[in-house]
Amino acid sequence: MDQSSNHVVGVDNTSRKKFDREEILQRARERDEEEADGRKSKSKGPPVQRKPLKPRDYQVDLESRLGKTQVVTPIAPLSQQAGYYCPVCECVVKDSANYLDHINGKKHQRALGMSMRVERSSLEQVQQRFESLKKRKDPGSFTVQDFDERMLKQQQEEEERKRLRREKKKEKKKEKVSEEEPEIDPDVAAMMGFGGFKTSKK
Amino acid sequence: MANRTDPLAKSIRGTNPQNLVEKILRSKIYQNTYWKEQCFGLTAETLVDKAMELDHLGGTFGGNRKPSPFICLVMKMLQIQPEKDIVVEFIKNEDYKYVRVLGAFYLRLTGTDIDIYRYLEPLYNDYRKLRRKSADGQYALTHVDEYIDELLTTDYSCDIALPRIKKRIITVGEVQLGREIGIEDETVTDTVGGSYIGS
Repeated sequence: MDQSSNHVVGVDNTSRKKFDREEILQRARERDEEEADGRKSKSKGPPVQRKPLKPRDYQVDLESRLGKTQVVTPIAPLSQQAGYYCPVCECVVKDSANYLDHINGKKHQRALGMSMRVERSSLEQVQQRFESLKKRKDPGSFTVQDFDERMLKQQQEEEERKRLRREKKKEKKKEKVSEEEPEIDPDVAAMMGFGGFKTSKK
Repeated sequence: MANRTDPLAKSIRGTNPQNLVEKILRSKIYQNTYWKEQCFGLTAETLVDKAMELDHLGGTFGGNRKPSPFICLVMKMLQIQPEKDIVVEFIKNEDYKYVRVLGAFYLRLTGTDIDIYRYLEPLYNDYRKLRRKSADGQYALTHVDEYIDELLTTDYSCDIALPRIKKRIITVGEVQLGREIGIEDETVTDTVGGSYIGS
């Protein structure tokens, strides 16, 4: 029964398909064209060379909104919704642990154009780093020499100040003296009708 | 992904270097905020900065066994596997004792017996103080030489099982290590190149 039901009765299924050369060629040409087009549109050039992974140069801000109250509405833009918003991937992560996982994750780093591989640094780089860090630290450090230098400077400044004060005093004294002794001869002044601002009655 | 070992890293003692840290501690480190925040994407070069900021050493502490920054950096070194020269540079630097101890610990985990003795024994001459955070979160005082001795003679430090190394006396028989502990100081690096055979 099964066999007979598979066999379709009344339809001519004995004719063979003829090999039509033209039609086949036509189809081949079409396929070639299609493939050529497809290759152009699909291929994105050479594979993307991503930069090696770099550590963050900023502190991750996890606690700035800690303890704050905020009204959350579902229609608000993503950046104002509850949780940590990642502007690069435009997504909201609900807690700090997951947020850290997200920004350390492959998807996020790829969005930043970095691969997950770290550059290998050479001995020279490490040595240079040591040197530069030592230099950077030096000004802040406090040595005996530094101390002596600073003391000397302070003493010099103190002396300078004292000297200035002394000079001022001297000048003041001089002024006083000069005030007491007007330069114009008193006789001449008297002749001209005034003898200074002092009382002329004497 | 962020916790993957460097694809170029060689396996140490037949396994992924990160496996030298036990599974439990490893997962605790991976969950740690310091690890996620500070240790991400470090190279051997930038790791120097972080190592210089260290102010104590230790394994885990507190009720939930939080990993210390020191152990996180050890983990990072296992992950990026810096070259031996770089580790030696860490050990040789005079100014930062915690960088030195970090390098020593890493070398103890990954180095060969001879290297370990050769580079760590000179540190017996370093008597500087170290702060060590014990499991209860309290700080304890120790010294560089004391800690180096712990590394060389015990098999467990900072919550990490140290690989076995041969006893010193056996190594002395095999390779010409100095017969006395810690006398060779600056000359160490010069003799590594294999000048022993010639002399």
